[in-house]
Amino acid sequence: MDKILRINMGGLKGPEVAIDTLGDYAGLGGRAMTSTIVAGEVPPLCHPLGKNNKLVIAPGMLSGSAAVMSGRISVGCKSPLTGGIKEANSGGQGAQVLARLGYAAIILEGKPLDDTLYKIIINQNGVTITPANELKMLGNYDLVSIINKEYGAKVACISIGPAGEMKMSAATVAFTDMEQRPTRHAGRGGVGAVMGAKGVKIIIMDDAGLKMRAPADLEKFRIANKLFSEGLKKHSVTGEGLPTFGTNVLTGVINEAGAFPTNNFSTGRFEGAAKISGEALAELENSRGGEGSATHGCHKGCIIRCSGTFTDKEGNFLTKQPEYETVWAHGANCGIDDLDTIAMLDRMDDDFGLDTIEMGATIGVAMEAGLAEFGDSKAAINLVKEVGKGTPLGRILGNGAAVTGQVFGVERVPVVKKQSMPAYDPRAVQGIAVTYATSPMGADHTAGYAVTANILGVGGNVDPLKPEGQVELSRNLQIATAAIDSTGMCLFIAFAILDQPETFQALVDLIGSFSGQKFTADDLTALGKSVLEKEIDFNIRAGFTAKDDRLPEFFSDEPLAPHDVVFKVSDEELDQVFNW
Amino acid sequence: MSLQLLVYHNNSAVFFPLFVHGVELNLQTGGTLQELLCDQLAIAPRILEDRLQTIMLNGKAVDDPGNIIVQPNDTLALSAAMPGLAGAIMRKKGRYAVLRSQINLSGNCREPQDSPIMKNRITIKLFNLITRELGPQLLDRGVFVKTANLQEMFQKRCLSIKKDCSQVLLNKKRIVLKKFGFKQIMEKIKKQEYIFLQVKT
Repeated sequence: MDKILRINMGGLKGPEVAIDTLGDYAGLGGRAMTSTIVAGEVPPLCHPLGKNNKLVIAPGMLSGSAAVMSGRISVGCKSPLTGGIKEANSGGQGAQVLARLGYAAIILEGKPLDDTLYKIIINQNGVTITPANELKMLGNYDLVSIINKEYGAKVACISIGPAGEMKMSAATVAFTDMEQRPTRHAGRGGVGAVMGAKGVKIIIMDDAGLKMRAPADLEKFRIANKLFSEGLKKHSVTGEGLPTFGTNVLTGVINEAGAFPTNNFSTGRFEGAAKISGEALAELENSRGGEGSATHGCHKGCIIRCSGTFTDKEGNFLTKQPEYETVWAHGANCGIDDLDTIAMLDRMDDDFGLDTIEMGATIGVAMEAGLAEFGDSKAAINLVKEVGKGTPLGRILGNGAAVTGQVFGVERVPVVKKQSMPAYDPRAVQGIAVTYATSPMGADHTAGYAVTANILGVGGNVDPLKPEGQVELSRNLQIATAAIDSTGMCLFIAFAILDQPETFQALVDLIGSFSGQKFTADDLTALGKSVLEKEIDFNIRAGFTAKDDRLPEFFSDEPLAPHDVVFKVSDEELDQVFNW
Repeated sequence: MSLQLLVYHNNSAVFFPLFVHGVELNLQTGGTLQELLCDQLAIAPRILEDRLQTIMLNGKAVDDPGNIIVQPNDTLALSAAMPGLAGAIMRKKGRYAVLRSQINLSGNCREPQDSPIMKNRITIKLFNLITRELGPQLLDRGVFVKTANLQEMFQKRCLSIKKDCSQVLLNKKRIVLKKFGFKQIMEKIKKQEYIFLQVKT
């Protein structure tokens, strides 16, 4: 990864390609790369869909190598949803293939002079950009199918569906998985709308004839990779729980804890939780698709394999295993307890190119507004269809929960910085709420996901018995997450590296032996901190203040059943999160 | 009313979904949760320490089962380690326990006279890998299940259960499945809210 591909979509004679050296961006990857470029090159006050915004796509530092779990790819820009900086990341094949092609980033900039839609083809011979108006308004599934016929079934695709073309704030950027299905998405913040605004429908990447990226110290790298793999396999979460049940393993316990937002965050327990639990989902997938259907990786080199394959009642592939957040968003949050409906909504979201969290939260708000009854599966499907068609109602819904709540006069709208909250009610799990409130990304569970903070030793040692530790822990978690997001590693490695110091050390050694430079836990911490500093600085320059780091009022006013709790962390405490 | 099943090859997994809904047992209350788990449910201390990573009593997270008194009609939920920050937060004695301080059950120890030892109905929910580890022994011992949940399970998994069953006893009377299938059994028990289910292998 020694070059950056810049494409000015606003060239007078069409898109202009430039291949740059890394320069100041040398050594960066993933979120560190996207956020550094966006913070440095995008005017914070620009219109997110205008010529001055840039869409940056960057594989992680270790992507394209033999390092297991290194298939995450980051997409960054100024977000049309939040108005602040955005990094959304995804699994799939994109990271590995782009990295092997040698690109540390693709930067789409400028604005097309007309409404021509383009496809970009990247292989070892170079970059070709051609008009592709015949692909307009195709869903991601049909799109990839057409591309496979023309370019073969071994390419990796980065694409947008109709939602991206319509520049909706809930639009995603899709990445194909190992089976050439557009099931993996950089979902949050409307990154697909920015790709649509650049006039790019699809990026086709072919790494035929290219080898894996070679580490600087092969022997050390091999040893570290082996130890890291062993650590993941022997841990009960990464070696047993996730492969067996997927991320939806959380539903039962989060519901039991009264933290499972139900019917648009009106209560913390869902009566139908058992029907949509990870246990029920895995059993259904295995019974329909054969034993093992509930265990599948999203990219080559994934050894956790937390995904799965969901087949319909007739035995046909419908979608990948819906994630916990999707099951919650389209399930409990909308009062729906039917896995077939949830899987169908997941398929539609992937096809139209929509963020499942944003859409589930939006449908919940729409139901509260009276557009449908909670629990009405058909109505939920029809509402998402409206989005795919781009009807006036669909345009409203496709721009997310905040817009929908505003249009229909709903007070209970679960967003921070206009981005919908994920599947944990902040009243019951207040520590996550601190991250929801303060993350520069808007409400985002993954922003403070990497439970490595105390191993990294950032911010000193936190006493877990003291309530004030919530703020300190949230800060540390956000630093750790920003660092992991930069490596290209899947965040699900977090549990194993939290519990097993030797596995954490193997990760540090993996990075060090790959780059050939001395790398320590302190370096990883410094990386995470620098990423966050750039992101926060961008948001300040974009006009964000402490007032944007707040939860909606109803979380402080409406007690959440069954525990009757409200959000109690004070504004003063929230303001201390990034006071380092 | 009771339903006893004998299944082949230690194959009681088909009944595991019942544990996500929750099953009920008659257990002594008034003692500590640790006593209930280790003494009454015969869970080895090593399993309690290593495998039961999340314990919830009435929806509140338990860090120290030795410091919690079990009361009649309590609901106990047990889970193996779970992924992500939420998993870490819910973990017992975890370093992120403070992030769930609103729903912690930090200790409800009372004097023995306040909580006399007696047998009472306790609801137990098992999640994820813990179901595989503790489910068979609970089924072997026998549990009370909601008839509606059992009915739903028979409807979904009728063939599988029939295939694995070598013997069925309804109220201790043997039932020949070929002549007297699950439909008829459900017809007989449908008016009961609960049924005592025992699955032996």
